Amino acid sequence: MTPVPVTTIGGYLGAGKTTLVNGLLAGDHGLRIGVLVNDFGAISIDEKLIVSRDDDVVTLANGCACCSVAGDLAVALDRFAGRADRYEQIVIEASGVADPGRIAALAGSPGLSRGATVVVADAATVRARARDKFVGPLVRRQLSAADLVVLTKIDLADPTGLEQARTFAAAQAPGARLIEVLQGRVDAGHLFAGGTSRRRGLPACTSAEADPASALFDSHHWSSDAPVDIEALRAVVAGLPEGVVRVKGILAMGSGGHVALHRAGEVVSLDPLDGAPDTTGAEVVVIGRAGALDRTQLDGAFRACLLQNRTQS
Amino acid sequence: MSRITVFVARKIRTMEPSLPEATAVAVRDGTIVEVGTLETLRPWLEAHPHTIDRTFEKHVLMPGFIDPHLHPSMAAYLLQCEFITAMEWQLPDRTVAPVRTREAFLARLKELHAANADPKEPIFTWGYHRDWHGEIWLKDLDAISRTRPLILVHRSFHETIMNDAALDYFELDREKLRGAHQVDIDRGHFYEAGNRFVRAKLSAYLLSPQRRGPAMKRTAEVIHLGGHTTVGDMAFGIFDHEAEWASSVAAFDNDDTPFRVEFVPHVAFAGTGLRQEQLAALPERNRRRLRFGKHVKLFTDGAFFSQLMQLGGPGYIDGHDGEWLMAPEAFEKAARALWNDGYVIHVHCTGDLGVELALDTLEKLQWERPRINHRFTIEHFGISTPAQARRIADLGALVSANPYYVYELSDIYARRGVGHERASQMVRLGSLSRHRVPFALHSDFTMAPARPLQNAWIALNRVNAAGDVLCPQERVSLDEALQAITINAAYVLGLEHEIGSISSGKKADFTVLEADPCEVAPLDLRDIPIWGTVFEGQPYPLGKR
Repeated sequence: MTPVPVTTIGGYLGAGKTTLVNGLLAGDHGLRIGVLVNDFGAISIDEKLIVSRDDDVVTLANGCACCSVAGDLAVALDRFAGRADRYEQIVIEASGVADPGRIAALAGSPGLSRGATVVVADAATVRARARDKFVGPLVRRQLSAADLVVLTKIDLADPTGLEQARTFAAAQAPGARLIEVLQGRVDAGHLFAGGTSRRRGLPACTSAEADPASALFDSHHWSSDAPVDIEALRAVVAGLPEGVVRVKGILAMGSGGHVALHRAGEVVSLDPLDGAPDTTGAEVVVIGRAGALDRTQLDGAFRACLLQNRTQS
Repeated sequence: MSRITVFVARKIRTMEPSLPEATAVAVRDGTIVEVGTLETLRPWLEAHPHTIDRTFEKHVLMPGFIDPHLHPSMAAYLLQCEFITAMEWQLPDRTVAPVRTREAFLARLKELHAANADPKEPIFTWGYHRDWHGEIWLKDLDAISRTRPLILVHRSFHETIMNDAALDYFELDREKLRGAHQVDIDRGHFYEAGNRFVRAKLSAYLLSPQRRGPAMKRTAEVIHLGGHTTVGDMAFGIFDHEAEWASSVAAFDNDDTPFRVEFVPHVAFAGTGLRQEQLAALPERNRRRLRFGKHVKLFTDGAFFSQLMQLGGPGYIDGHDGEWLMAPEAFEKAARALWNDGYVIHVHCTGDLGVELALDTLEKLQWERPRINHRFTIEHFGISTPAQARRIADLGALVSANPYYVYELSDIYARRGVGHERASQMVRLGSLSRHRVPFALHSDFTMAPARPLQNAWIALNRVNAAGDVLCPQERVSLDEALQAITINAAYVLGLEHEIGSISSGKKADFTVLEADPCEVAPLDLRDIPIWGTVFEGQPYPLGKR
C-alpha cells in the first residue's frame, strides 16, 4: 500500500484557506488531489467540472475530489487513506480554530504519510489577530506549527504593514518557508513540495528570501487542440531531465477517448481515462525544481509530437 | 371534565414565596386546581366531585424536579456499559460503589466476567480513569479472559482499551493498525483520534436496533430515578436530529413515561447540528411529552472534563491551551442572527474566556438591538471570574451550572490543572447569588449523575469527593439550591408559567420525598429517599414501572 502524502492547510478564520483550496480544486496542476473540507457550502465548485457525486464526495474532471468532513475529520480521512491509486495527494483544510499541528498528526496512520503543514495568514490582520484576547494564543500556536506560511491578501496591506507581517510570521514560525499569494493563486508545487514536513529536512528560507520568485518549484503548462502521437510524447516525457519532479497530462486518442499520462520519479504510465474531458488534443503540465525547466525546449519537444508535424517529417 | 383528586401530604414545599407551605393540592386533568389545606380548598371541593388521596400522607411533595441540560441520546449508549467508576453512581437497578484502585477495578471486572453465563458475550465497562485505576492494558484484560471480549470505555469517552478477544470480535486488523497515530495495538489502546478505529464498531453494536430501544427505556428509568418530571435535551441534533427524534418518540411518547422533554436544538457548526432555517418548523412536531420552544444552543470553548476550557491569564499550570469549539467570529455571527430572530440563546461555556466571549457578544447584541427578558443563558459555568458574575447580572443573563465539577474535579484540577484558588471557586454560585443572578443546576448526564438532590447538595455544601469543603463563600442557601432544581430550572427553559412550582393553574408535576429537605441536616440532603413522582396528576412510584 503506497502511502498518500497529506498536506494540512491551517490558519485562522478568514485567512484565505478556502480560497486556496478553491484554487487547488480548479487548478490545472495535473494532480489528483483528495481535499477534505469543513464546509462544503464555502467551496465554489464549478458544476460543469463535477464528474460525480457520491454521498459526501464530489469528483471533478481534473481528477480532484472534495470530501466534506461533517463532524469527524479522522473518519473522513480514512476514506482517502490507502487510495494511492486514486489520489496522489491529500489536502486537509483544517478548521479555523484547529491546531494544524494536531491535525497533521492524523497523517501518522496506515496508508498516509505526513506532508507539509501550511498555515495561511492574512497579511493585513494577522498581527492584530495574534494580540486578540480570545484567539491570540491560538493564532500564534497555528503559525508555530507551519512548515510553510502563506501570506494572503497582500494587496490589502500597506507596504509597511506587509513588511511587518512578514517579520512577524517569520518570528512566529521559525524555520518555515514563507510565500505570498494573491487571490489564492498559488502553484500547487509550493504546497506539495517534497511531500514532507520540515522535520524531515525540507530546506527553509528566511523572511529576507520570502518572495514568490524564490519558490522551490516551477510548473510549465503546454496544450494543443490538435492530437499528438502518444507513444512519441511518452518517450519525450520519459527522457526529461532530472530536475523534473512530476508530469501530468490528458491526451486525446485518435480512436476517440482519452488517456492520462503520469510521470512520478522515473516511472511513466499511461492509463485509460473515464469521463469525457473536452481536450481535443493534449494538455500537459510539467513540475520541476525552480530553474530546472527550459520552457522553450519543452514546448519544442512537445510540438514535435503533434501528429500533423510527424506526418510532414 | 374529570373528577378532582386531592393529594394530601405531610408537607408540600410549593417553591412559591407567596404560599411556601401547604398540606393539600387539588388536581384535575393533569393541572393544579388549588394548593393549600383541606380547609382552604373547601369552596372547590364543595362545588365539584372529588376524591381525597392519602397515599402521600406521610410524604413531602415538591414541584417535579427539572434538569434543564442533559443528553438522552448519549445516555442510551452509556447505560449499556457496566459502571466501574471512581465515584458512586445510582442506577435504576443498583448503586455502584466507588472503585478507586487498580486492584479493585480488576477484581470487579473479574466478578462481572464470572457472573456472566454466556462465555462469548462482550462486557463493556465505563468509568476507567488512570488517575484512580492505574495502568490497565490488553495483557491485564487477557489475564481475565482470552475468550470473552472485554472493552474498557474511558471516563472521558476519548479512550478505549480492549483484550485480544475484543480485537477479534470487532475484526480489528492488528497489522493494519500497528503504528497508527494514537493507537497502541499491542496494548489494545485506542485514544483521541485513534479512537475512531473502534468508535463506529462499538456504536454499531451498542446502538443496534434491538439494543437502542431497551437502552432508551433505561434512560427513561434513570430520569425517573432522579425524581425529574421535566428534562431539557440541551443539544438536540448533536448526532442526527431525525434519528434522535425517532428514538425519543419511540421511547418517551407513551403513558409509561413520567416526564416531558424540552428539546433545545444544537445550531450547526463543524458539520453537526441544525441550520437556522430548519429551526422554525420544529415546534410543529410538539406532542404532550416532547416539545420544542424558541430556545437554541451554541458553544464557545472545549470540554471541562478534558481540560479544554479556554482560560484567561494565567491559564493552565502546564501551559497547554484550551480549545474554541466555534471561532469567536462564527459564534458572534450565529448569535446575532438568532438574537435578531428572537431566540433564547443557551451558550456552552466552560472556562472564563468562554464566558467572556459569551458576555462580550451579548453586550454587543444588546447595544445593536436591545431585548428585554432575553434569558441568554451561560451553560456549565465551570471556571469564571468574580467580575464576570457581576457582569452577568448587569447584562441580565442567566446561568445553568453543573455543580458536579466541584464534587469530582476540584481536587484533581487544584493539583493538576489550574491551581487551588480557581479550582476551589469553580461554579461560583455564591457570587451569582450575591449579584441576584437567577441560576439553575444541571447534570449534563452522562457527564454527571442525573440526581437533582445531589446537585442541590453540592451547591449547598461544596463538599468534594475527597471530603474537603471547597470555598464555602461560594455556597448558596438551601432555598436557592432547591429553586435551582425547580422554579429557576423552569425559568431557564422558559417554562416557569407552566412548571417549577406548585400553584393554581400549573401542571400537576410533583416529586414525592420521604423526608423534608428543610428539616434534614444539610449534609443529608442528597440521601433523602425519593418515593417517585406525579406527572400531570398521575402517580409514578419508583421501581414499579
